[in-house]
Amino acid sequence: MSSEARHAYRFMAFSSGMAARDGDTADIGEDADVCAQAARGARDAILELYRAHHAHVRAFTQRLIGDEALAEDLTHEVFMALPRAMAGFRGDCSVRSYLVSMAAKRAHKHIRTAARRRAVEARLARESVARPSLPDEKTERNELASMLLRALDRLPPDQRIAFVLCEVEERTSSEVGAMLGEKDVTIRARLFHAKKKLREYMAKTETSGTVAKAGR
Amino acid sequence: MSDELLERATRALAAKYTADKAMAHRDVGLRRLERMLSDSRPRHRPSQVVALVAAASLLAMAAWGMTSGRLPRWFRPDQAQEGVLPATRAEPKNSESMARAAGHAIMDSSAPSSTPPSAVHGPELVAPSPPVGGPFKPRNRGASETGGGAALAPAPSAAPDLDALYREAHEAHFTRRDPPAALAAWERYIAAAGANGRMTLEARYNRAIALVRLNRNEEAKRALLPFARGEFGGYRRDDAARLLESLH
Repeated sequence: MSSEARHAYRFMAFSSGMAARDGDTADIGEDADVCAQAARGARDAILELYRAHHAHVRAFTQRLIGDEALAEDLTHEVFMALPRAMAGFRGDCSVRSYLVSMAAKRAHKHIRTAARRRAVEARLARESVARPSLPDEKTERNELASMLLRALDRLPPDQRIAFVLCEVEERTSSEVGAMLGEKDVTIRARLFHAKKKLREYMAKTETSGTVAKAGR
Repeated sequence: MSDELLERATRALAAKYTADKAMAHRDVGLRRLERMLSDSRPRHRPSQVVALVAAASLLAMAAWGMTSGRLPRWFRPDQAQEGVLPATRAEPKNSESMARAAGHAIMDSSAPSSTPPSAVHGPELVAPSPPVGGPFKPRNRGASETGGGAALAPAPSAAPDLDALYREAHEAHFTRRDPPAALAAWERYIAAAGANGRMTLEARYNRAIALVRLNRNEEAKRALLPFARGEFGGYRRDDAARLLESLH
């Protein structure tokens, strides 16, 4: 890749306001080369992209789905679909953002499965007596995360994805809009409704004392 | 209060699943991906699938055409098969159905004395009855397909009476049992009717039988071979094959 092309690529990614996240700008030029090869189905290029971006895609899928096995499946699905998907990659966002958006677009089925699984686990947990004790801080964090995931299960997938990308992953609404192919205002609306519903759920949970210790 | 709780829960979720923790799963996932990429074969594009389906359809049609006898009629060029006779474009189905419909299937059980013994006990020699001035006229598609020009197609007034020719040959062959006369009559009919004559196929087969009866075995073999090879579909294929076998 020529230096001009690399510069143009960096400028494109920068001007679209999506690059500066978790080292997204790192090796952008190399990524472009690798992406071209991955689009042609080159095995080594796919594996290289996997090594470079797996952790971030996996973190996103876990945050979105809340289930390790399903998150792994979704991550795997994203990288298996790379050759076809990269053919449509025009370089108007970072590769990592593109991979995350691929995961978001393919997540609906996994979200539903995870929600069902959590509902079953919650029912079984009510019947169980003893639970392994964990350090307080970790316990509190896990409980809060689990509560949020249960709350997220009540949201429509679009709102859930918008919340996780904007609030948990701390991306801007314009960036998320570009990733998902939606307008900025659409993402903000989804985020607004998601937060409203989550707040209601939290308030209900708080008053019922399910997370009595969480507020301390 | 719920705002604060939501914010803490959000931070907790982000902290619970970080990229650093996800790294622990990288190697397992990498091996899985490597295995899947090694196993995966290149997928067929839709155009390839369409081409495959089209090729399969074509093969199926060809197979059907071969078995039903229509393929030779579609693809065989109009050319002389035996050097002597004009090419015939078989219409086995029509001819057979005509023969059945006519209800005049004739069993040629008593072969002339000149017929070789092996041929005498050969397959049944069945022929349709001659057309009896029926409402249908023998078609002469060969002339019309070659352009229909006046120079190529015979003038209607000069066209021979194919029905009469066929009747004459039929009578010589099946009634009078006169092989030389039958042979000459069949050849006249074939020459007049052309490759696409309505009864040309039957005439060709009967001509071959006449040749057998006249002990003109080499010519008979050449005449029977296209039938035995199935060039006219199933029409007389087995009979011709048995006859050929007996002539060897």
